[in-house]
Amino acid sequence: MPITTSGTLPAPVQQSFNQMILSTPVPNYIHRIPAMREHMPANGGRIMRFRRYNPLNSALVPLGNSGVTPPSQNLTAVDIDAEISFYGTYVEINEQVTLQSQDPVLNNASIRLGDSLRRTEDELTRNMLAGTAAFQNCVGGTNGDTPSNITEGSISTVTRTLIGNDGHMFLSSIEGEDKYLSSPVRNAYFALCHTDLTPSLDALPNSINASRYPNQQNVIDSEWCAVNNLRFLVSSIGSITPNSSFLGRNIYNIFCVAKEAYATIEQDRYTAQFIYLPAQFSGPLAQNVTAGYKFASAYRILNDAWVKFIAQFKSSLIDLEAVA
Amino acid sequence: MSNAIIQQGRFVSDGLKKTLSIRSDVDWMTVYNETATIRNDVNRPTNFYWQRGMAAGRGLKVVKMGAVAGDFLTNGQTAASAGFTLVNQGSDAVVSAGVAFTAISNATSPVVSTGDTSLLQVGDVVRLSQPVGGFDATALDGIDWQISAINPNVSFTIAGVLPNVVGAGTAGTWRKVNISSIFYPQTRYIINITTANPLFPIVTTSVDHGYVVGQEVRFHVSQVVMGNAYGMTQIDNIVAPITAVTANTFTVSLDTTGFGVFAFPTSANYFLTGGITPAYVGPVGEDTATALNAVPQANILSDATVNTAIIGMALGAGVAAGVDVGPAGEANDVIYWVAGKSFSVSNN
Repeated sequence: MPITTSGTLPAPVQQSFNQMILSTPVPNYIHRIPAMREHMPANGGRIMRFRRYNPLNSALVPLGNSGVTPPSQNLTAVDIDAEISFYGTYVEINEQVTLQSQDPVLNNASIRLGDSLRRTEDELTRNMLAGTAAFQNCVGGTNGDTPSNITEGSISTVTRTLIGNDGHMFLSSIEGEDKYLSSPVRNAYFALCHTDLTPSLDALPNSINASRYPNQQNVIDSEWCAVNNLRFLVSSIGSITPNSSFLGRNIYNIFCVAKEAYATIEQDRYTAQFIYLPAQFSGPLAQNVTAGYKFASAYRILNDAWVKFIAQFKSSLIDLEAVA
Repeated sequence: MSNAIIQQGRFVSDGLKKTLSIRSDVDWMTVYNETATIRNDVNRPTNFYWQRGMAAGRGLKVVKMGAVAGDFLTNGQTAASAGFTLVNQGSDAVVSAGVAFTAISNATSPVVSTGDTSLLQVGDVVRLSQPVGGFDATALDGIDWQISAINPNVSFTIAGVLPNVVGAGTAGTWRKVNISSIFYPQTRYIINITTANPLFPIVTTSVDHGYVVGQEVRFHVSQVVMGNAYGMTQIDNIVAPITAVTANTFTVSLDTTGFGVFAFPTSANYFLTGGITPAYVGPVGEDTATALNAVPQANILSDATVNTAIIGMALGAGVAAGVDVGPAGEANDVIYWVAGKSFSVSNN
């Protein structure tokens, strides 16, 4: 008696489509968090100008009783400019794709476009900081390279620099509480870096992982740890300068930021726009739809003394990363 | 659009590589050297052609042979890296793959000996590195250097003149830097500060700086515990306005009377101190008064941070004169170019 098997009677449709679209990896967007948000007015030209007055000297000498007018001081200022640039991208999708595909392609396209927009903004901010900010090399580490792996000495040096330049800290201290393994956290500047540095940060003696903060109320998702007066936000698109160490290895840049150190400037009437053109716009046969975004923005360090990045190699282990 | 010409143009060659911004991206490109076409020089390339699918840095060329008008033409391929290279500064690799070098001369304009210069043209920027234990000429490592001269497949010379020698180097790796930052203005490494006039010191950078008159810059010159590296540490953290510029030097208005003499660290300094932050200068803003009072008056907005990234095509200058001149031409050649897109590209 023959047995009918799937070999002789296969299913007419071999696969089923799972309507749950899998997650697309999205990095933490950390570089705009400490930035000032400014707006360029519409019809205001193409360049935003900021001004900072230089401090006047203190007047320590008494006027005395002579009635003679002392010499005046000169009031000076530095002007800081940022030019608006325009950005955008799009996808063009043939009607047969939306006709035949089991998933809502246009919906997913718009989600991916939104992520591309935010990633563009974050990477532009990161690249501006990497190219224009002051920096110091980590020294005193154990990897035999320059810059070395991160040390608390380097963290203390950059903190001293920011405090010495009267940079205000972003984050208030977190008081200690009677919770096992928790630890009070100092008031702090932001430190923005790549996720590859998390083992190096954990290895520092005074590193307090975010999970050990006594109070979790104001902890950002991307926050990894606190070391002395720096609280570290990490991202997989953190800043890297390729092949730039003395031994040819990649250098990881940690941006240490005080308040009002840098700004992102958005253009009024040209902030992020999602643009969808139905198929009727594509030609006489109306075959393709387009979906895209555009925006205009500028990025600028407003006080170079309030942002500094530590350039470092990621590990104390020399052999961990082969030289490309 | 199908087979559309999207952009065309003309330029007069300066003898160096030429990068054209072609925002829409291109599938084909033709370059005409008008000067070579109408002159009766021997062995001069007159036309160049590239289309998508050709190897990066290559292209086809038509060479006019002979010294008489109407002499025959011959076809060929451009030398490697001397032809057409697509450029996308938003996504291109920041540095090239590493290429070995065998020695660095102990000179104030160091010469790097390498058996392969095919990636390089004069004006390009390189980054040097040396292996563990190779603490010779270490002071040059990790810094971007501009090239002033190339001896094909023998050596290249670092532009700019150091104030002192730093020690000879042995084996290592160099990488071509395609783009260091898409934003202007950038921080720049300092290789020398001279004070012939102590009120207006002249700063030399390791690559062309791009700064303009009126910009304010802040100096970062580290203290060094051992040795006399950098010397002029008094200038650290000082802000000064720029009063004059050349491609790789600029003059600032700053009284350096009594400052130490700037000295570039030797490799011994690096070895003994466990590492130094190289001397560098960073942009601060604009001294509008200095810009307005300059003769001629400077553009007071020229310090603005701006994204300079482009999509386009780099035309090689070639590896030698004559038949090996690239599509960018020789100095003073008049070049015409046409670039276009195809409806579809099928490269199998």
